[in-house]
Amino acid sequence: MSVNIKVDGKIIEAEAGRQLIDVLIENGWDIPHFCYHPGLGPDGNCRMCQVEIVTPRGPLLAISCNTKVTDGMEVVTNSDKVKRVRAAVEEFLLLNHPLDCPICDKAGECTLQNYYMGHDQKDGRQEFTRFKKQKAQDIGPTLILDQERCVLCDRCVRFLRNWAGEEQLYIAGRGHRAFLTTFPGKEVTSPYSLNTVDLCPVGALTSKDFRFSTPTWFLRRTPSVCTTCSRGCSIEIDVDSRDNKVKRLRPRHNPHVNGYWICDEGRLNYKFVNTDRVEKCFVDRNGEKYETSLENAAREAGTLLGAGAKTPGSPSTPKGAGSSAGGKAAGQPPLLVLVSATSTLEEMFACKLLGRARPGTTLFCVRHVPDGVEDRLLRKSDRHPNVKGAELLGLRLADFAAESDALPALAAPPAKDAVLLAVGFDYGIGKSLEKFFEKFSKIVVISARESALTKKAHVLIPGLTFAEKEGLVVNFEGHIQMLSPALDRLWDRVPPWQVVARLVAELTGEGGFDTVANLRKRLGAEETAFSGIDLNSVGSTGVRVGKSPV
Amino acid sequence: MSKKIISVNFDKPSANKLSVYEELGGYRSIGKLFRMNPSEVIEEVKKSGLRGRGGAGFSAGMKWSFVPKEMNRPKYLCVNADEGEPGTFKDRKILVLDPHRLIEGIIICCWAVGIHAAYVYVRGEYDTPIRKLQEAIDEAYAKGYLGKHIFGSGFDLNVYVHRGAGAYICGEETGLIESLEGKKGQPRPKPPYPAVIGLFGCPTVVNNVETLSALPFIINEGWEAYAALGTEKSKGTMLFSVSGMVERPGVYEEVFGVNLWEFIERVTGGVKGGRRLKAVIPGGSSSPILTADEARAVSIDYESIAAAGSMVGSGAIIVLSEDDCIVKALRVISRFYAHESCGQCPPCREGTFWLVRLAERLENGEGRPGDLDLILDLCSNMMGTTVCVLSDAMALPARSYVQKFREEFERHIVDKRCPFSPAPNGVRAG
Repeated sequence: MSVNIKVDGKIIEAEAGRQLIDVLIENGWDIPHFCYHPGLGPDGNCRMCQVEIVTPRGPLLAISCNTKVTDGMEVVTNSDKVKRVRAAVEEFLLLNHPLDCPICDKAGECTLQNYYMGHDQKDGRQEFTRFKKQKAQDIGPTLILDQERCVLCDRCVRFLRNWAGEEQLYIAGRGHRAFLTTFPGKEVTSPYSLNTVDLCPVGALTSKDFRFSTPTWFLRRTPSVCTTCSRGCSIEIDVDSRDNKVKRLRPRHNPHVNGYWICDEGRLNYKFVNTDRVEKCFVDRNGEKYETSLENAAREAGTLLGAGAKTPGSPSTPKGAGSSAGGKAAGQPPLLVLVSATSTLEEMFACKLLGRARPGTTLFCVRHVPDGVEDRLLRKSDRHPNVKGAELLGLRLADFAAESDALPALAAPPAKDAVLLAVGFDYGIGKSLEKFFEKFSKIVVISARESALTKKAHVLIPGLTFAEKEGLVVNFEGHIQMLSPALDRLWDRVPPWQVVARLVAELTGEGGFDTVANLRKRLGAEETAFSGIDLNSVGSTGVRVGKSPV
Repeated sequence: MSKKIISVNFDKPSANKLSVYEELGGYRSIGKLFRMNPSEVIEEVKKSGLRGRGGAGFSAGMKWSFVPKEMNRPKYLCVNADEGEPGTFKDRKILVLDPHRLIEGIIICCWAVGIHAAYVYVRGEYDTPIRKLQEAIDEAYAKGYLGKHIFGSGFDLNVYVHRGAGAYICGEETGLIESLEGKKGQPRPKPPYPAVIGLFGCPTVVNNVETLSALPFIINEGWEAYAALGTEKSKGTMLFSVSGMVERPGVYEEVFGVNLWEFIERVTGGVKGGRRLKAVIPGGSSSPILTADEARAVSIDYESIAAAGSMVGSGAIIVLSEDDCIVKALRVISRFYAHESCGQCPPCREGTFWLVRLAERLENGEGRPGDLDLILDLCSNMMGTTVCVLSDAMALPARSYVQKFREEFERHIVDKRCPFSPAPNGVRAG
């Protein structure tokens, strides 16, 4: 039921029964808080979110995180009393807080620092020796704990107990001697442990992976999507602006996909972006690899793929992907196009257009990353971000994810002169896929990272990882989200969809697409699964297929 | 002049035994009780004016009436026998000397509110009181006064004794409930109040031992008899634990409204060894201190003591003489609160830490001129801003010590030593 309340003299509308702090923050008030978190609920211990509620007995302080909105409520957030309380709580928290700022990971994104600047700014009056606790404790595979920095807000305890379902941290002791710790003889092993580092308002819990890596003010943050499994959690990619390298991933709030959290596996899966990169285009001449320009590489690839079928306007094979070897023009070797299920919709669609442009093409989307752990929280066993996208585009799936000798979905062993175009196998290929690739004599590869496949390529064109490209992925529930490039791309690397479009141009003589936006428009127009969705504006939290934009 | 309602059996040998208790008139109220409607009982207790004797002084009958009448959740009674307030030692007397009175009071409360399970939370250090209480409960069960169909009535009631483990904060009603639930005794934010959401999420009444022990009289004699005693807002009697520099410290029951100092002198024989009176703490260490003049001018009742800037609290009266150092008193109580703070909220856990350091520094003769105003500012930051009132229980008295005995504090700073200690201790030159 919608009611009116008055805040600092201003009337605003709110839903009765909601927590006052949510209503205030949503309406633009800055209410400082430590222990409250929208994903965890209130705890009521930090006392920072206190505001005055006007009652018949006069204004009374109340914590806004545990006060429900009622009709006619009158709230004051800017009185002297409220300001004093905020400064007082801040002073109390700083009383025994160690002066670690110069060496603390959290500096620059620390709530205590921010609130000091915003609500305190008084000289310190504390002259006694600060109470000593343990520092730099190794408490598990992912975390380092500094007990002195801890403000005892209980967020990490509540997160692990209530959301992750594994109570692995607790606050022991009483009074100012209280300290955060693990249970005797135990560590923090939850696969969601690193969310506590985001949750921690100070630098008490730090990530072993990120510790001492980068001062936070050098980080450039880009909203994007995790590509480690088919959940597709919303993330932000943090890049060090000094060396243009990804330094960490963090969750981004998305009520439709992952809520406020991500798993540790996905969070830590960014180092590959900086390793084993294919930097240049290569062509193979009699077993020797020669570096070359993108122009040359594309032309060579076109020749390999087209091999004599280049007739502008020639009747193409019927629409729909995965056309079989029937309809093959005379003299043309069969072409197998394999696009990884880690690729974007644009890349897959471009491959589909390629298949139509070149008779005798068989197109498959391939699952090749081995299945991982699935749990009831976020992780899915399918370790590809865009299988659903492939299905919606009508692509056939070939499953190489389980390592076995039996040849999966592909109908028959390839002909001796078959040509292979492999797009987007950036996350590594397994043994069975490697053996499969050995059967081809001519291979064109678009890949961001080196692998057994790139070594065999006759034409190798560098691709882009998820951190460098713009593109749509569809999660297992049909939620479409947009990847955004977080790294400055080097001038000679072109997005894979554009490379494929170039190949289409090589084959048909038609121009490639000028912009990815137009490619998406065509995708949206031609593919019925995406009808009614403007793929160029899916928004920061994405769109569900079958529903209107959220 | 002293009317004995709670302590009437204290000097009767073996009154803790069921047979003796009954001979003395015990359990007589139950017959009358079961002929009354539960809501009638609540009204009776409300009209009697009985207020909580644990420290908060809230109307018992009104607290009971906050419990919702719904039937889909069980209701609980928690008897607060944690008796942690420094200076208080009266509930233990009831448990040792007259435990059946408490049991009778528990039955009355549970009938009135519709409760079938009561937990007596006794501080763990009370070995003898716990033993005596359990013996009395066992006797009651054996005679059918507790358990199923008590007194043959069709009303079931179980009473369990739960030992605390050494925390003052478990005397706070929600801290007590958390501890009973097996968690750390950290108070919960209120609202919601225990009457609505309490033990195991169910409606819960939390009452002090002495409060419940007043109920048999009220049922037997009627609310008018209880309300005839005392003053307009402070009805009945209270057990006062008097300690400190007096000839005969002890537990003394008195009707509300008599003059505070007159009462103390009468029952304890006055200040020990004829010393001069300096100050009186009227309601436990959590209450602001009264100067000698204030103590002589005030009467013991909730309104008058509140008007004098302090509180009746748990009725723990501590008397200080001319030989007692107020700065030392501050150090003593601040160490207590710092030790007992649960640690949830910054103003309390850090504020008490800070106050201890300041009080120690002052007592050691290392105090600085700005310390006193710092203490006053610190105290006002600790009041009204926390989850529970332990913080206020530290800050209110501390502030009163500095305000009312400022000269004594200043002497410590100027002389660089405590003027009451027999020899200079740790004095630094200059």
